[in-house]
Amino acid sequence: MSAQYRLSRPALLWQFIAIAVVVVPHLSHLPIWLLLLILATVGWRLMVHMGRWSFPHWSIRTLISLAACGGVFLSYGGIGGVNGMVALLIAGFSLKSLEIHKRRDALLVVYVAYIVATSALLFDQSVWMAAYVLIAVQLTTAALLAIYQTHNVDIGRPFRTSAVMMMQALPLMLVLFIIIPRMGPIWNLKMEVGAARTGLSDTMSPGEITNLTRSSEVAFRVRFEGERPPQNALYWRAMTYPDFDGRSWYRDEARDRQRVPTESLEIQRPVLKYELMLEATGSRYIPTLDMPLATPIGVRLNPDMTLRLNYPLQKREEYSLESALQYRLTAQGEALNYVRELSLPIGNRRTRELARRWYTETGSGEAFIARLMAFYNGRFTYTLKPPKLGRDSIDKFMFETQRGFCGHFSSSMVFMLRSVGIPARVVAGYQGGEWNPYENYLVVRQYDAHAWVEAWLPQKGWVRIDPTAAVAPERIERPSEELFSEEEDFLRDAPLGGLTVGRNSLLADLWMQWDAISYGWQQWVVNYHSHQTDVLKRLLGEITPLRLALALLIPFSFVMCLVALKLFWRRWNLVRDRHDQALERLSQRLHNKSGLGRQPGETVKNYSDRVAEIRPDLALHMQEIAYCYELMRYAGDDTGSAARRMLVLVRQCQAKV
Amino acid sequence: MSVLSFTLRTIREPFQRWAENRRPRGASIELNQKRIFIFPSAAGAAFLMVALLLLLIGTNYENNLVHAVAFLLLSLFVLSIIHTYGNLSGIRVTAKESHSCFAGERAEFELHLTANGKRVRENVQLAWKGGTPQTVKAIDGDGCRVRLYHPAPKRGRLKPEPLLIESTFPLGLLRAWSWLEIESSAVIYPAPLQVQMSKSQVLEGGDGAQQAMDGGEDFSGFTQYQPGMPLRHVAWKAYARGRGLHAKTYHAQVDDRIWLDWEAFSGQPTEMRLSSLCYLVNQLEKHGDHYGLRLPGNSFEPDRGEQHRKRLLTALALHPGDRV
Repeated sequence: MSAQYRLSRPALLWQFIAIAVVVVPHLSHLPIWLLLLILATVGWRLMVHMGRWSFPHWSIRTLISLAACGGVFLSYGGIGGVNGMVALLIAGFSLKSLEIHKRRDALLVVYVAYIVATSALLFDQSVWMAAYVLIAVQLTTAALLAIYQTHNVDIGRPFRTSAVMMMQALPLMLVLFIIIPRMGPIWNLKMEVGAARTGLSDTMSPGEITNLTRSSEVAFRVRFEGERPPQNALYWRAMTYPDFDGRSWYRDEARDRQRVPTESLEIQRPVLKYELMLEATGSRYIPTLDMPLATPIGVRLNPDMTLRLNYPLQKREEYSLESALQYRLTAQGEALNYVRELSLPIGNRRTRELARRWYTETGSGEAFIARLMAFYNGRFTYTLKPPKLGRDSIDKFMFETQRGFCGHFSSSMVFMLRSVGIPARVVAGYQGGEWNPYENYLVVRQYDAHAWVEAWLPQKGWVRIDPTAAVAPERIERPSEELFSEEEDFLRDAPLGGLTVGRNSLLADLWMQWDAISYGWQQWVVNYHSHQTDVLKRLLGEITPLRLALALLIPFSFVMCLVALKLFWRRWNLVRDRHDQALERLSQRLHNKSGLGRQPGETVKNYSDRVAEIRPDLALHMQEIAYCYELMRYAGDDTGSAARRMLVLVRQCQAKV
Repeated sequence: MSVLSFTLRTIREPFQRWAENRRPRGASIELNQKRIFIFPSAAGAAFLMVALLLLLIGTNYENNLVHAVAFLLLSLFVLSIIHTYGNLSGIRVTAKESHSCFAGERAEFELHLTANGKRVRENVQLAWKGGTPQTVKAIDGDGCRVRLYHPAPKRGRLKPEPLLIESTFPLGLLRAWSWLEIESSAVIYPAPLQVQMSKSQVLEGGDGAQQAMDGGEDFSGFTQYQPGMPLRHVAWKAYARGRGLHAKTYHAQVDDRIWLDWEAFSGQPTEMRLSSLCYLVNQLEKHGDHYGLRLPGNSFEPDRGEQHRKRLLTALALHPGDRV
């Protein structure tokens, strides 16, 4: 039977709708030729459908299939990656659409469409994409329904039916989502999804930059356990740049393997615990407050007390972190152990000389630093549009331009410190952040990126010094969006960015609310596996297999019962006779007007007599109604004339009441 | 292989016995939870594989949203248990007429299907056991008539095989089915066996008078044509002149009543005799003759017409003989 089964027209159309809808999210990464292939195959099938062309010969189909496989292999360099697999699936089912004639072909297309639709979530897990995939799954289900529908076959019905079924399935899905325990990965797969690289750079060359435009993109979000630290303590360390070549600060990986002084860390409790949700950066740093204590899985601790991921971060990820804000990090012995943090390239003679002169004048490291900070405070200007510096950039900055941003200040300060034998390094990271009062978390954006200095002092170990704070203290005390919103170039690269970050603007408030939603989404849905145990403990008290099973079964049976009731309960499904309904309405109206309702068990004849007695004006009508009713029910009213007459009479009578 | 089939049989047989005992019997049966079985179809198993594959992908990429879609598909699967069951439950199958046929043909049974409630049941398949299924597109409260053909290899009274009613609507993931023992029967006439009409077989007139196959030869007059009269007797010339249809009547001076006699076929096996007689009955009816039948212990006076033919054929069909 199913061998001769022919797909109905709506079913075929639904197939194409499903194919189109599930392919759309992949358009950005599919090669052009594959898009053309999809268009060609679907077009061909439509021509077949309209009877203009015939199905392609099997040899042509085989040839195209082989070519498509080869094409995917060449375009993606193998099919190992997710991209390649998805492309292969898409190529496969667009070719399959060329030969949908039987039910099995149609089923294959629909099932693959489910997989392709879902795979979009591997690339993007935003609320929008989730909503889109939900709709795509619904439309694919409509395509599945259309295959089996034989009655009242129109285009809209599969859509409506699938919408109803989705509504019924969603609560069940929710229960499964919450209860079913997640397993760790069975085998390790690395996502090779080309995430855009944003965030901090591996090098810092302040002298090259003449216009620092900044992005309002979110870098990460933080939820603190307990009190949030004050704004000026929020120094998020991401990377340190120990090496300088005269122009740029960077970290030379080769020198990482050289001898490093053994440092010891003393911390003072309490420590700060927080959840940090890092956006995909394509890099390997994780910003942490001061000294991170616990290292999450897949992360290692650098000697400079920054965290480093084993793989570049390709998707948004959440980390549970602990930091010590009061600490002492130092090595036994003296400053000379820190060879790397003392080395300087040739050049910038005037700065060196100034540093040495001041050091001999002040006599100690602390006093030297204080003098330096006072110097910055007195003479320098903070700007996002610094002049270009060129050769001997430090000299030029210190003595000529004296205008710049955090990069210039930290760079020149580290140079000064190293010139007098104080080990120092540039720290790159983020400073501050914006508090979201709706969900109580901190949003740190790319424009909060900052650079500062860490210097090693014999008794104190590594200490943080921020020269920018000396030049522009408000840069540290106040959130950047408040600070920079007057500057016209701030956020020039983001057309809407400027609108969504200002203080007293409605849009900014809306943005904040929206961000709270997407943060909640990220935390409770996308990262649910890391919270599942907590949630289940809160729901069930204690996680035992029995309780899990009950938590699954009880809501499940509840929903199933509701659906079953809707399907089977007689009163919802009973066919009501039009004539009885009309009589009921009349009786209701009579009851409202003159208290003459039909009693339970009263025959129509008796009722009409009773009404006729009290309301003689209706007597004629009522008697004829009763007569017609009896004719219709008991005299085999084949032509239906009595039934029609009765309806007319009831309507007239109702008008007279 | 044989071990496997043996194990399968030992597992299946008790279940089949149990299921057979539960099979509802009657001329009119309503499907309810006692009678409907439900199990994933092949397409449903494939659908589950898709859901599991998504679960695997979700697990390996630690992607909770992929998990969510997998759970959504599983929920759809579970939900469609109710929907598929609901598509079959509440259908009432009533046996209506059955039509006779000759052995070797297929007997037609008419079934009337109605659905309770206002839900329309859709895409329901009906089949006799071992037969090809027939799809009923929609069943509603008013009901619909379905003609199902049942193979009839042997003459006699045919009791149909159990009726399989099944549906995978709406998503094709589950198959709900029920076996019904529909109480109905059809008379299957013997397969006609072409024989030459020899005088010895047919010319045994009831009162010894000689008869001719062509009936009497003496033209006696005209009579108004009635449907069922042999066309050869129509007065075509009169019709051509526009005088209406008339039939020529022949005087029954010659007895045109023919007797078909069981004994005339002596020496032949019972089934062959019955088949030959069956053929002759058909032929004589086609010729418009009056014919009677003598069977052992049973005799039918000569007559003609459809009713008469059916009576005779039924007698032939149900003749005990030595049929096994």
